[in-house]
Amino acid sequence: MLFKNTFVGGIHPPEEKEFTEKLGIEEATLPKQVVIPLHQCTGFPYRSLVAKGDLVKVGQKIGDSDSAISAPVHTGISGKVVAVEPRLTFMGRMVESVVIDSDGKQDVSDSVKPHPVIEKISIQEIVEAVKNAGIVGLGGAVFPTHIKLSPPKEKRIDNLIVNGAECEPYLTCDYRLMLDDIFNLAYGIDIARKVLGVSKAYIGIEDNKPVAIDYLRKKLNRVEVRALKTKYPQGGEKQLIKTILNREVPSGGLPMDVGVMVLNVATCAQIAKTLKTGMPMIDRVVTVTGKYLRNPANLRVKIGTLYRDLIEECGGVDGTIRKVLCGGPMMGVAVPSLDIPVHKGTSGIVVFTQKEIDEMERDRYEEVCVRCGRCTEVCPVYLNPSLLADYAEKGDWEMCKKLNAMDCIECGACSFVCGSRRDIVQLIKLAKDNIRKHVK
Amino acid sequence: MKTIIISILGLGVIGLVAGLILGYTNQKFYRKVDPRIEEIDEALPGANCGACGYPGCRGFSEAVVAGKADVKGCLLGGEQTTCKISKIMGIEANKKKEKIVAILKCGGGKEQSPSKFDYQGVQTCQAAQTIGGGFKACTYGCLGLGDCVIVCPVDCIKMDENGLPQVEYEKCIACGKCLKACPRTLFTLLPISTKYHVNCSSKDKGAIARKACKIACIGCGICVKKCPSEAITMKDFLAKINPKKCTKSGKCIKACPTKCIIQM
Repeated sequence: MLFKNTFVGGIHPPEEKEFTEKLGIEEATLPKQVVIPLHQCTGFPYRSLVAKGDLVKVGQKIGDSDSAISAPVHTGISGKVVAVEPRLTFMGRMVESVVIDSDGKQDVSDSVKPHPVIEKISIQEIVEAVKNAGIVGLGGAVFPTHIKLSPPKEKRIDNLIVNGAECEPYLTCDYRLMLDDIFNLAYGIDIARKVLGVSKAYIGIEDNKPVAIDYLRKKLNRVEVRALKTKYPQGGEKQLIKTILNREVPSGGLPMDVGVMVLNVATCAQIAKTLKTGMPMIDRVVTVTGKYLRNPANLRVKIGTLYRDLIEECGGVDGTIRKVLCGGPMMGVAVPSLDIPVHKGTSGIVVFTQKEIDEMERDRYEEVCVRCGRCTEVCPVYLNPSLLADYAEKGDWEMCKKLNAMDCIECGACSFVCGSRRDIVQLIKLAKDNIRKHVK
Repeated sequence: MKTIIISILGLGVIGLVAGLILGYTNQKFYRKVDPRIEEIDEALPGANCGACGYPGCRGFSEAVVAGKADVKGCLLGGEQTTCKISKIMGIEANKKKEKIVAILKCGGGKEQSPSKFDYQGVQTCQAAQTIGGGFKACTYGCLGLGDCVIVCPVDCIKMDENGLPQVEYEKCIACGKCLKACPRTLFTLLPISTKYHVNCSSKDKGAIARKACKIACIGCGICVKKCPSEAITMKDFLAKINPKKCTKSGKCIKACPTKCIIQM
């Protein structure tokens, strides 16, 4: 088959994974202060369960919401709540946050209790535990996992795909997790398989990680490990389904419409960890990297740790920091300040210095589209990005909708290849925003 | 020869029959078109700017004759056109209406309110607003990328060096397009005789507003106390002057500690 182990379109940006791929996951030093935003997943903001002056313990629930699509947040350190106030988050908006000063004792809350072994626990109990632990999709979409684990009855799920592609340049947190936390990963896959009632599970890994592929093939005997062609955005769930099962998710549909559930490796490992120890989601693996960062690392970081502390822990940079990304360079967001906290979706912190940015932006000026068609070639969801961008520039949202702007996965492949350096993704994002608001 | 006669006769008969049918239908289905529509259409500027809210000048003339639109509806034509239209319609236009203009309710340019972060994306206010809620330190203030300049049909808005749009009040026809284009809805329509207005839209608390912009309204309420005619009200840490009640005493301008109330 011509398109075996890959999908149509896509690009191959420089991988830049060499800074951290050989470094195992380390525990980050305990932060003196954490800022935990009360809005960390898809859905509505939560209300705070603690007030200024309260003493909190590790694993204590500090924010919850009554809405169906939400996951609670917990504190990862013990100490005293010094403020509940709006703080800046990675998107540049002010979000109500709980600020906790550590007392260094790390006393564990009484609410943290391990769950019974997998054979004895019922499906409802697992979903409830996942919900209470505040587990969300750790690949970056931060969609509450308990909703994914309880699909509507009419949708029959027959395949589970575990996403270990990690197609974003620079990031190695999922790769290291597959090597360093194999027991939790295997256990998590078993649990997800039990909950969804599926027999067939796949794990997709890009072939630029041969060590992980060999290792998982040896260790996971009930899961089919698929080596995928190294191509961005291989880790997009729709691309992954197309590659592994050759099924296409319909326009506007979800993977469950074609009977597939996609979970990130980190999410699986977190589910296992929560069920084994009872500890809710209080930390995650973050790749802190950059060409001029002195000691790049894969760190297990408490949610709420400030970027400034992490960059300091990694030895700071040679030169001046100019741009810091939350996530990888393709889909990540440039953060507005270093005093923002790690949230549940932070997979990486990529630091760029003034020197690098100057080199990158030396001839970065926008020109008009020359109709070369490269964006159309690389678009993994078969859109015409240049045309969409044109209509978005003119403000014709109805035409954007007709051209299926809503199917855009915002991967950024079109902007990457654009010879005229147009901000195509941003224009399409703008169109999507306006379609949601204005077009019925 | 015979062929020619037959064809002439044949054509003549067809022509006669067709003529009769056309004549009959013209009588039977005659629809009277008001000649005034044509006349008003002539009198209008013909720019089809759409500021009146109708699809072009023709649409407006039809609406005027149908009695749906006011004779003063054409904003671009102004007083002259109104006179012509009222003459055609045979009605006396009301007394001279006061000119209304669009006013920007923000004084925080690049100098007063710095950027939170460098923005390098699409250079329109609407796009900038979606990235982290806008790059400006003040979340209510003008982003200064000029969406209003682009939509203005009479080119009366220009960007100044401080990154704030300046409205030429003489040219402004109060069409309201800038009100809709601004993602932070910073424009408002006020009569040109309004002497004082609050040059700020920040609804933040005093300390936050002051940090974000040097000349923000901090909601201190001094102007409310000083105003002799109770024209100023305070809502969401933002003063508002009611132009109907304002007696133009000028006490608010002197009292305002951040100088956010200005004279037009």
